[in-house]
Amino acid sequence: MDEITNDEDSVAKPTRVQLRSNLAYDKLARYLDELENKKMIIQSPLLITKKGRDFLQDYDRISNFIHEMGIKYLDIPLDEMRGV
Amino acid sequence: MDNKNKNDSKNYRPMKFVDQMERNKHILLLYDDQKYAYWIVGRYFHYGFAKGESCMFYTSDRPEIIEKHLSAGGIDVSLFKQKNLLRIYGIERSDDNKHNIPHALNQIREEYTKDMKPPYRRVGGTITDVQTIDGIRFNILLEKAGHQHFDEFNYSQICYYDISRIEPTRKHEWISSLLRNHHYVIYASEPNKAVAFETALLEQDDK
Repeated sequence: MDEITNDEDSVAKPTRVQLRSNLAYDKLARYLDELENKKMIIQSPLLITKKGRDFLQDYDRISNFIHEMGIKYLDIPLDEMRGV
Repeated sequence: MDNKNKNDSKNYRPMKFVDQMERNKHILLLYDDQKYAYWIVGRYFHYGFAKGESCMFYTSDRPEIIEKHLSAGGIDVSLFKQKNLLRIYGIERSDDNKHNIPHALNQIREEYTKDMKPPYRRVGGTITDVQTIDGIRFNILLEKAGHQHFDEFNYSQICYYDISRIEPTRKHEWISSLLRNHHYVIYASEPNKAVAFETALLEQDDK
């Protein structure tokens, strides 16, 4: 999805998104359908929605939070953790 | 709250998440600035009152301090207390009498909500010592016991922690454990860093 917003124009070209994301066309089409179903993009023309932009912003913030707290995934076996 | 603060809090990123949280959720509020933590609590209560839910705050601080913060956030404390929709409990500052986990949980669940109408929204921290290894460890044990049976009760709860006070040598482990034992986390920090999400997002799905 980041590739769609990285496009210089507000409308992204599917071939350019495919090139930048390095995905096979069928896989890209599947992902675009899924993102459209979740109302994060619209496909014709290819545009990111407000919900999509919000998601990207949250994604960055969550990444920063994880980094700042020094945590990884939460399903690490308990015996590998010294905490509770 | 002055107009600028009111506007800033309205645009604060986690607020929408607070409004959309489902019922019966166990929420971890991590903060590095008390001001933002009170924004979250104020919004959480405000939304609860709008839905006719009973709200309670238990604290080892003086209840008047909490009342002052809630009032500053625009909540009519006297009115909601009068309507029996708001209670602010002062709990013991010492943790010596809290080591019986079933008793501590029972107190939180039943005594604090007595004669109030469900569903409940609660905010609190039972254990005051999070600065020592024993203190934070016991705190997590209590969180874990509460979380395991959380679905059986008709309330949601925000457990709040000042990140700067958490025992520092294994902070990331304590925070991981806290995250594992809550449904949602709200990180109340500066507006460009604050975020809220479901902790399940931090589980690997490709095992």
